[in-house]
Amino acid sequence: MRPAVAGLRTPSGTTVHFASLMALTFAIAATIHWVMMPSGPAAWTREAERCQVRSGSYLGRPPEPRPPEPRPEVIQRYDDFAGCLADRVSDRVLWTAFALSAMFALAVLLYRLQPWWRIRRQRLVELRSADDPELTAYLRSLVVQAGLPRAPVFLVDPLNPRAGGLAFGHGHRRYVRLDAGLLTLFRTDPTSFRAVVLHELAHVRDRDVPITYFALAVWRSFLITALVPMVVGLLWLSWQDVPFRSSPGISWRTACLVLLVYLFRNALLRIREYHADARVSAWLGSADPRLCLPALPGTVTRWPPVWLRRHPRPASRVAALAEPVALLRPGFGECLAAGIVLQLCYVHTATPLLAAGTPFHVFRLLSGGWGAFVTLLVGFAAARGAAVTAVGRRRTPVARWLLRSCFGLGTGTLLGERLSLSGLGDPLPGAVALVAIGVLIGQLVLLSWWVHRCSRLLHRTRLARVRVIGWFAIGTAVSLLGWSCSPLWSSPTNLDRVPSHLGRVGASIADFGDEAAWTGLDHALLLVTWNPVVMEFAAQNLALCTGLVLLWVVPLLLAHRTRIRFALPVGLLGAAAWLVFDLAVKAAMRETIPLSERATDAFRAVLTAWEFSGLLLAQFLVGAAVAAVLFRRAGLAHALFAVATTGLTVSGMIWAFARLGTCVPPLQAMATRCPGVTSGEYAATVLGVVTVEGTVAAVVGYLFGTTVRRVLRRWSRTRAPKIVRTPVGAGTPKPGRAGRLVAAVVATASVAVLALPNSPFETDEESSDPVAEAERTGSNGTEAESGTASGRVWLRGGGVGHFRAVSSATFEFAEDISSNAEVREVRGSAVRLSEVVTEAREFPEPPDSRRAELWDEMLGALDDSARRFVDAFDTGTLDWEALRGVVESLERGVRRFEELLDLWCGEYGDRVLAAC
Amino acid sequence: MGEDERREFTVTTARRVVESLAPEELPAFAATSEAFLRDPERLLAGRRCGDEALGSGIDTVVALLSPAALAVAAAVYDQLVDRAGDAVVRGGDRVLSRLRARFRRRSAVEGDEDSATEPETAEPETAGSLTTGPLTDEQRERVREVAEARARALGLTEDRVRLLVGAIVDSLDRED
Repeated sequence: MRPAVAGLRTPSGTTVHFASLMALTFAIAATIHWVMMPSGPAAWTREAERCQVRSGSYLGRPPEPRPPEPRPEVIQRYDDFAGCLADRVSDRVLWTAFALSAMFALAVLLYRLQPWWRIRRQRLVELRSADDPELTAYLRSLVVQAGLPRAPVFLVDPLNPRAGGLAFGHGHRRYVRLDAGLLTLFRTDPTSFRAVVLHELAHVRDRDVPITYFALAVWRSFLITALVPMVVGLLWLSWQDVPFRSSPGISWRTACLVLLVYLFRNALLRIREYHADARVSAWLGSADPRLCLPALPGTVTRWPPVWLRRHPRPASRVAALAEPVALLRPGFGECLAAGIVLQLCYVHTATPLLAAGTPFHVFRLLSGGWGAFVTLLVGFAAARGAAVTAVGRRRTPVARWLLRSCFGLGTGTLLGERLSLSGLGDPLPGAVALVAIGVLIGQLVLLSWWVHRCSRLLHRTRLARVRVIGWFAIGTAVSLLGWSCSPLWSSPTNLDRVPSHLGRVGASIADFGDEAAWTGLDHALLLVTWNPVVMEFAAQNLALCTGLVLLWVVPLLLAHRTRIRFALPVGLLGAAAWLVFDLAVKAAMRETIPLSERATDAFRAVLTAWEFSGLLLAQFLVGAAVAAVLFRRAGLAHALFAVATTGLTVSGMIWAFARLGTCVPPLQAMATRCPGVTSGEYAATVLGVVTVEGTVAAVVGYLFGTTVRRVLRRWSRTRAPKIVRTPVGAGTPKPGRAGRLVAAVVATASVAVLALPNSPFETDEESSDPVAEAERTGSNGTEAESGTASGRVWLRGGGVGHFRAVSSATFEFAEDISSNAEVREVRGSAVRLSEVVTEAREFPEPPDSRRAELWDEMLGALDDSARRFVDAFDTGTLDWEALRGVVESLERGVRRFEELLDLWCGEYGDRVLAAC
Repeated sequence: MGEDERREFTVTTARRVVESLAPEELPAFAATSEAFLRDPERLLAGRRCGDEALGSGIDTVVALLSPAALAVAAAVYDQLVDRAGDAVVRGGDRVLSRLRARFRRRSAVEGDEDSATEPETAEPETAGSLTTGPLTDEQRERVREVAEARARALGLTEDRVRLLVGAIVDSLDRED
């Protein structure tokens, strides 16, 4: 029934979504148990805050105005935080594992008991042959028609006057309930009777019974074992009047999640009905609603609304019969739900892992998996769109479908993050998050279009081996691109810091231009070619670069005819043009700058920027030329191939120049020692940058070339009707084994170079990595962010206790001095103050530098005061002079104390610090 | 014994009605009568839920005759039994007696051993005094009144009430 793409049956997607639904349910339950049980959410928050303070790794916004730290230190701090939590979470791990096991066990129990309970509750009676031999014989014939290996047990529902039925059961025990009203139709309306029974048998045949009822059992088990305890817990908190700040956030998010899952479940059940109807239609060999859905045409159901129902509207079912293949088309709602589910699963999986002390690199794997899953979902939708296009009507709005799907997935991702119980942040997304999601959607649209085109090519392929390899290659490309590119968007909220970070790095890179001061273009060229986005996320990213290579090699290998014979020379020509440009730049450099001034890091960066800029220009022109000539003939893949050829050749030349260029005077730029020293990693880094930036240049060039070609065609139609249309250089397309071989060689060479071993730079000419240097120099800057959440965490994580202890000890000491108390008593309070200060010093200082400074000064002054008094008393030198020194130190400490108190009180009031 | 007799009367009478008026309901009649005898109110109330997961999604409700026939037959029996006390004092209710005799005779014909011994154990003095034959006009009228009242209470249309009552009365007249 389902159409096939290149011989492989297209999955409907609903089974995957049911699995997602169950995964989501378990993930939410895990988070609920983790946060709520057994010691309550407040205890969990306190534990997390304590560990943040002890490790100095504050979640959320960074403390201000501390400068950005090198990444290894950040990772070390995070690992300390995770290790601290890991020591405290064994009971929670056990509790959560126990609760999830109980939930699963209850789900299995409900699933197994459900048929028995239904039969008992509805008083269903097995239909015996003796009741009506003719009827039972007819039912047997329908079972045979449905192609079921085992006949289900037919039961009669005497209490139900409806003309309907129901499929249910568990495992291999399947039942079909026939309502009493339906049985009367056997003689009065056999067509309707057959349609209804076949519909239920279609559910059995589609394996809807075990999947659906297990999903329902999981949902009910979730309600019983997780949701109800959570609601009771929140009510109990309210009853106890415990000021727990997160309970409203948890409540509304949970309500939204429950509603979403409920609606999602209903939507999936409705989709299943469409598929069952389509199968009945296939069995009957007709899409006539009078045969397939005889009781439905003309039926109008106004209440409840369709989104609350488990069955579609009758009119929709009738309409879907006409074009069953349309059921497979990707849609907004489906992808929205998938996005929400995926994001929630990610967040709710990451949170317990975070709490369980998982190392940092595990999160990189997790976010990479998230990215791969997102792109695979989009690829899945695109492949289904291609299947519909191939089987359905001639012109289908595939672009619209894909756009909606990607938009749905992006929106679902954002919505899922907002609804997650772990973040509890602002419900409305910020501008950065919206922009990030927009970029993600753009990426997904481009990728889905590529998958769609490749699927179309696969659809034309007849060889099974090629189909399998093709699907594998498409899946690999999509996964690699998702793995390497999309993890950035797994937490849109956390991208708030990315623009400022990239801005700092970019500014530092641009400073090289000012430092070198060669031409007025240096600044701009550095920003374009050493773009921090590319350098941070693309250079030395083997997965991303391999995915980009697969973008052009897959369609070229799948295409019946290629024009490699044209594209290859154009690519090589581009490399030759770059060589001329490079020689000119180096000559100009030698003419204008003395060698001593050229041998600096800044100048090396500027020279590289010029070389890369020339390469980008060449790649742009190559892409435009190929697109203009091969207009609408798989031009983009050929353009990418030609650009990759240029990039690979130029990368080889750059590497060779670094190695041997110093021996040839025209190629000398900054060093004259022959031969130069360089490494494989240098070549890999250069090719990585060239691959990423070259792909962008190729796409832009392709768009430019196609636009020019389109304008020329339009002009030729209006002004010169007899223009010769044969493209210059295109030649006759060859059924291309040689072309494919060349493409495969270029792709293999690219990946092989990209995979050269990663070792630190060894060359003496190109030793500077502008981004690393920029990160180092950028760390001197300050960041004026206004986030102070970490300060609050510090206070709640134990800081307020020390603050209070120091306060009371100081007050006691000062009181004893001012009241002329017994000197021995004053000494006792001084010792206590000293002890309290010592304990406070062992505690981590506040996270932001201003408060840390005040804290240190306060403790130092108070400690000095107390120690002076004790020393003077013990040595018998306690006179007025010594006492004045004690009081002055004490005053200094109290002043710092008041400043610190003003800072905190002005920010938090008495919500955090009772002393305010 | 009284309950068994009531069940037998109800099911047999209703089955005859269904056979004559709605034979298409016969495949489900056994299950329906069983459900009725277990919980009459629940059967007559029917089931409201029509949007179950993996159901057919069809909300078309068929006006079944079987539940109504069973309910009316039971009402007729109950009415006759209630009046039987007075009738015995006055010399016996011929309708009820005729019915009892008929069921015993049919059981004997079917050759069931247990049923064959039933006449000796079940009120032999009453059974011996009963006579068989067609209902009198007065008896028929009484049955009709009871059946009509019950059928209307069930919300049947006048046409169906008329058909149902006629079939009930006819079934009582049948000798088989």
